[in-house]
Amino acid sequence: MVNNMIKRIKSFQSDSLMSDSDFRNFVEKAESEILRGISTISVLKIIDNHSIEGIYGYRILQELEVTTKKMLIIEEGTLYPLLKKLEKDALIQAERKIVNNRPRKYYYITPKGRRIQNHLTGFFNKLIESMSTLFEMKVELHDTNFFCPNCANIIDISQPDVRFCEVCGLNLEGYIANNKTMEENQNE
Amino acid sequence: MNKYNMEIEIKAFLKDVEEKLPGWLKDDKFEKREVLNELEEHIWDKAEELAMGGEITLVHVQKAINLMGTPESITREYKKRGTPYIYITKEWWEIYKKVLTIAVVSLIAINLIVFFAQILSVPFWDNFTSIFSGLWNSILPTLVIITVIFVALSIQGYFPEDLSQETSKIKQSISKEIHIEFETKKSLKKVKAPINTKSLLGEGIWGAFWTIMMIIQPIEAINNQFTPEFLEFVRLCGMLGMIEAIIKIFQVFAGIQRIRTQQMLILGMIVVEIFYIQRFLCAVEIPEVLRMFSQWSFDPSGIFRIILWISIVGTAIGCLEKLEKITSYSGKLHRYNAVHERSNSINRD
Repeated sequence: MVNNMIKRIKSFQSDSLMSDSDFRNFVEKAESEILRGISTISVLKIIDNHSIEGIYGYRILQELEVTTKKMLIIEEGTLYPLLKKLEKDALIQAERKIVNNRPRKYYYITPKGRRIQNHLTGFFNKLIESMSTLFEMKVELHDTNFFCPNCANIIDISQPDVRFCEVCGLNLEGYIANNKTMEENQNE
Repeated sequence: MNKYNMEIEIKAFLKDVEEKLPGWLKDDKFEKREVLNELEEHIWDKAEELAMGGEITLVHVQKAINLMGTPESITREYKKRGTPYIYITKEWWEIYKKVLTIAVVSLIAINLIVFFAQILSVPFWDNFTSIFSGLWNSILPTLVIITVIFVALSIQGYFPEDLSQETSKIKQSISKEIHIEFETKKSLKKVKAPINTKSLLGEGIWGAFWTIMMIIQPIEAINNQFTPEFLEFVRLCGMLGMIEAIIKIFQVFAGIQRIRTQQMLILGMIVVEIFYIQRFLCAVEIPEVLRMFSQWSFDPSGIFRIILWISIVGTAIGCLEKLEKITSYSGKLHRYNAVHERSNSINRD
């Protein structure tokens, strides 16, 4: 299970909403549902960030805690089955290594995993951005990322031969040209 | 001494975790070891962090274990394997539909055959309505039993391939071993799991289906053809068959690694078979059972008696084979695990 916010609150007033079991159960379940998908993207992203040297389970949890400022905490009972599932789906691959006299299982992202991670991250970014008005928050996506207008896949447009989105196949030539014109106008 | 105590503490915790793992993972020795090794590494990492650069003590290890959560919480997610889909996971759904279709089609076919066979001898309306009562009485319990089995497999997180993994992994290892000397390949080929869970599951489902038919005897038109004593004999055999089918399904859920449980279940089968022999011996002495048919002039007593004696001898031999299976189970499992381990190391290489 993903350790959601409400589960971590250990002390609360007896007359607060938190003491109402209906409220607590509903919020707990809803938070778990929100975090479940996010934890998969986050784990894939962290493994991708360590694509050369690899990363082991314990480090993934630590990194997740630090980078999300303890907002997203995955329990051990969730992480390892998730890693096993990602490995079975060939999104990551594992290698056993002995580092500092300690045997550890290091995970590496596969090309398939990177493509999926890229697409999910793009979707997640655009989702948060589009929801910003609804939730009255300010979200600013990096200019360096170009999102496919059709499927939100992140596309590296610095590559000269990029013409189509590899996920949905959309012809991007017009969009990329527009994006470049907009960037130039902004710079001026 | 301290390190020894710490290891004891970790091993005890991992043993608890191992017991709570779902059957599919327990059966896969390599995967199970991978999971437990990773958890052990995690505990050491956490203890190291708690020691804050100092020497790891038993207290750190105990604290790290507590922070891991209960064995139930650790293993819960492994049971959630599969894509939920109306209580039965999507991975099982197609097979479930196939088994149900075969069962329902068989039942409809039986009822139709009986209907046409009796079209001239039984009044049309009685014959026609008996189709529906026959279908209702046979399809409903069959549907329930088959569904319960597939729901149980889904809840336990089994995938169809888990039940055939022993054969596929051996095959995999053999194909990778193609360059290794002939003798090694031959020894790999020879080693089989002490029980074949896939065939046991098939036999269990199929057995449950047919024994229900034998117990409830849903088609009145067929029942009318036989003597009540013969029908009673069939019903008793059906009950024994049902127990046998349930034991087979239990064997699947217990997993091949549980030596004592498997031995007890095989012993249970022997007891059932002894009851079979006892039933057959009684039947040989009852002319109404041997005569079988109530309305026909043809008397198959002589042939049926021979069939019963063959069955008695066959069942007795089956009992001896099962006794041998009980005594050799442990050895066969160790050999199988050794080959399994070897095949996994080849696969990894």
